Amino acid sequence: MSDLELPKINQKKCIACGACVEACPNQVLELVEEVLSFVRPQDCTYCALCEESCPQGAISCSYEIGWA
Amino acid sequence: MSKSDLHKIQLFSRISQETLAILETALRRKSFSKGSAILWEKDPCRYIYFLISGEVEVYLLAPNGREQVLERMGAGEAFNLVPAFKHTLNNHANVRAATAVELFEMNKDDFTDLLERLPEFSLAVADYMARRLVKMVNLVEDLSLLSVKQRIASFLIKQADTPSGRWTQDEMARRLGTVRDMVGRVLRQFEDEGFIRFEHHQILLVDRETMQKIALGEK
Ligand code: SF4
Ligand code: SF4
Repeated sequence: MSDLELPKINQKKCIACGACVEACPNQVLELVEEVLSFVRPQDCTYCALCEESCPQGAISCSYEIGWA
Repeated sequence: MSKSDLHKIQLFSRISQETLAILETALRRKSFSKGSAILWEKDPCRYIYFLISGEVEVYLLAPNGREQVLERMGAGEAFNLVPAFKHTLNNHANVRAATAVELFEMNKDDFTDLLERLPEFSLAVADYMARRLVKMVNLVEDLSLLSVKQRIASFLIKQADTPSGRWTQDEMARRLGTVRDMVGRVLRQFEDEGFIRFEHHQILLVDRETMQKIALGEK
């Protein structure tokens, strides 16, 4: 993916539960020493499954809205 | 104070230099960082605000703590005008900086004083408030008459026509008086039916006619 837009992680809200790591279909996320990190950012499809899985509301995907 | 900043404010755009020079003496420039509170609902109204740059979110809090974002306002807009007209009135809603914000504030008493002294300013304020009222009536109509699906379709069309920044599903939900899950479900349904396309961080509307039909409840 040429433009690397990634979901935003709010580290202050994150409790390192790992739910998003499990939810991501592309193994983009990992907890590295308890800190949620993008280990394979290039594989992120911005599918927002991580956002949906997070019990803390710590991940958000924002969208531009336009005409195709 | 830079003249060009004054011209960014819609309300001042047709006001003569002479009057502007008087108004300018009552304006104070302020900055707010992203996320900070600018005013609270039910606090006494002390200032009127004119947005030079950035965006603010106007929102209400339901007793259960849920937020209803009434609107997002951008550069050039003015807010907190209504409570200034009656000294018993308090602020109507909460306002926070959605981005970094630069604004002018005008003391409420100066505002009412200037309205009395400067007919040109009073007319500009009346004109601006009339336009805001039309917008609000449209919003009320949307909220009360349209289903969530219609509201989302209508929101997407408005955003695609005149984009105002990026939106998370949660922000859309708060703006539309619903919950995030609902927004997610409707967007997925729109995608499955081929009305919209997700392209990475973009939501692209495929066909205006279909979207308009959904917004009108005809589909
Ligand atoms: S948006 Fe999708 S692909 Fe990207 S990190 Fe989240 S779950 Fe993984
Ligand atoms: S699901 Fe949320 S709280 Fe859990 S690790 Fe991921 S971001 Fe942190």
